[in-house]
Amino acid sequence: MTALPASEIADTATSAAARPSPRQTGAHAVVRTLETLGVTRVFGYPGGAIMPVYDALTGSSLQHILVRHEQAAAFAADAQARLTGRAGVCLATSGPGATNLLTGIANAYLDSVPMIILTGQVPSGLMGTDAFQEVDVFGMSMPVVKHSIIIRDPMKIPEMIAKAFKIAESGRPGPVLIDLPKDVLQAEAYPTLPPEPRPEAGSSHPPESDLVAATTLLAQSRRPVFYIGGGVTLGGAVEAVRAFMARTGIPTVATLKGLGCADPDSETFLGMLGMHGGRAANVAVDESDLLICCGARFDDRATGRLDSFAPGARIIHIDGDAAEIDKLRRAEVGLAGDITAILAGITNEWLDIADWRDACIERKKRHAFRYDAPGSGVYAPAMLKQLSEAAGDDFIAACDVGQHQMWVAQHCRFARPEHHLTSAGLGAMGYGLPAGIGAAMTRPDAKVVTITGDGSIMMNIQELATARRYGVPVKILLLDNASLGLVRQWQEYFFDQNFSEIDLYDNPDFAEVAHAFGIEAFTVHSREEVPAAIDRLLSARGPILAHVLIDPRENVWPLVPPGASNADMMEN
Amino acid sequence: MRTSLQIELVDAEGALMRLIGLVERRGFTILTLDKSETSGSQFTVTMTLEARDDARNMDVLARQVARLLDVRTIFTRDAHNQIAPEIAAQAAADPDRWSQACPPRY
Repeated sequence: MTALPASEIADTATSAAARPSPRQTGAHAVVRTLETLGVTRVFGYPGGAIMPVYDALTGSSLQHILVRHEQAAAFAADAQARLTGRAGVCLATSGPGATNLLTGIANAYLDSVPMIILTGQVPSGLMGTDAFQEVDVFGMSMPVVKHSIIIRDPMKIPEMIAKAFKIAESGRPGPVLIDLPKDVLQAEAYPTLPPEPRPEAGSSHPPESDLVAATTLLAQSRRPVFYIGGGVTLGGAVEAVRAFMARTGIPTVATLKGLGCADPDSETFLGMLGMHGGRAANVAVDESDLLICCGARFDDRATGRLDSFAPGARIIHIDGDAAEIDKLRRAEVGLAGDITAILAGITNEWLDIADWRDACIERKKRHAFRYDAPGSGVYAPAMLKQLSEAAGDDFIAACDVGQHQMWVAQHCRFARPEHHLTSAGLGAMGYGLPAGIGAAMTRPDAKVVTITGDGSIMMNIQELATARRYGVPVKILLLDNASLGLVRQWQEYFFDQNFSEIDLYDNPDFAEVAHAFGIEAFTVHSREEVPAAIDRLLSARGPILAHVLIDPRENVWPLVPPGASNADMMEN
Repeated sequence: MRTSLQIELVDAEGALMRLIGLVERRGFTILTLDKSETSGSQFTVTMTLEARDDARNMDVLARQVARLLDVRTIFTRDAHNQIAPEIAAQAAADPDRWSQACPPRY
């Protein structure tokens, strides 16, 4: 690393150095490196150890979004990353600031989202002494990061931040934490900045013999099913998946994260499989003789009881990450590498599955969801279907976690997988509102709707202040059943109706809460109000909240009971 | 079933902690562990492992270890404690390492 004279720094720096301060510090190097790497927005919350970075932010080209809780910074950065494919950036101070980020970091890790987390740390000499606001976030975060770094030398700041971005965005993406001791941030430092833009991820190709083996298995199959997951999006293979579906006609099912990968209007797309999957999808998998798993990982929410999942099927497992092959289900053919190249290399000229395909399509029609629920109350699945259809291809849903999350997966239409923002792996309540804010700031042209429940929104309701401050055009659909609905549903069916701690009868009036934050809001009481409510929600130019009262007895169907096979799903 | 792994790592802060944590979290008990002195910028860890249940797969663990950015190579060791063929080569930040760590099988 070459030290530059201050005069040259002033010539090359575009922002932080513009402030009349000749002294450049490690914190300035952090800010300038982010700028050089093309970062335009960071989400964060200031505090003691990270204050030098906030000092250097003044006058920089970076847009800092001040959230009201560090967890929201991570969730918002996560949503931005899912929409752009580039690492989102969040920052917080040491101690509680860092620990508050951990849920968001875990969320990004489990869903393979590229993210850079900058945490302030107590000065190097105090590390390990139980100093004020000192926690070992480097150690605490290890199980939930792709990698982590403590920068000990201010001259290495640009090099190590650039490396962190490369790690976060290449291969299987993930979060990378950078811990920054305060003395490193305050030290005088004139490092050179990384000269290159961020590199594109590389790709790899499996041997031809593996592709021949996969083709052979496919030619022998009479009842194949294509099982797709979030790895398709991570591998940039959405178009390849759609082309493979069109070329082969193989009936296709998707995981929660795989929704939107298939053309939503494709007749061979059978919907989501698993615990709340549709009958057509789960039965097809159960009857299949070949499962082509592509970018999915045999997650327990998708498979149900693993030893009875696709019991008669041989497995072709395609993934960008070799560590997923054989992890939970032994594959006859494991193909790790570039998904697009792999799918293009599997030929189907001997495939003869017309009867099977027709039977799957017929079953899909026979078991299609119905929306003619009795009564005059709002039927949430119908409202969500109408909402996504009204919003069209620009519909982006930022889901929270609970019954509404599953209703969104079952009933909404997604033109692209990245339009379905959901905490799939971690299932973190509180994701929806900050993710909606991050998404609406990233795609202000789209129809970004946070779909949340009365339980979830209370986990990060303070972010209404963030939406208000920045005029974020996020539309919030709050489905209020005055209870923790998914827990209540499980207690009803699997815990002898022992309803324990799920009653939220004393919720606040959410429309009034939103008003108190200065946000437009209204309440929907009945089914006949739904069309106007959707229209008002989608046509709003700033943040808006629709508080929708729904029947607390409404459940999510179908449902695979715990420990059961997917074929044994319960239906209403 | 017991298996030995020999892993070469870059001498980076947290590298050993990251390796041990991953092995434990993925369902293996570390029975013995030996760390060499650092030579150049690398050190070697040799560990004897036992899976906590039958569902744990040593090949999968090796590929998970290979994903760690600090890991350079992984070898298994046979019953005579001799180094067996490499199972996950070049675990550097190279996209091709995924396919190298995933031998074809059909």
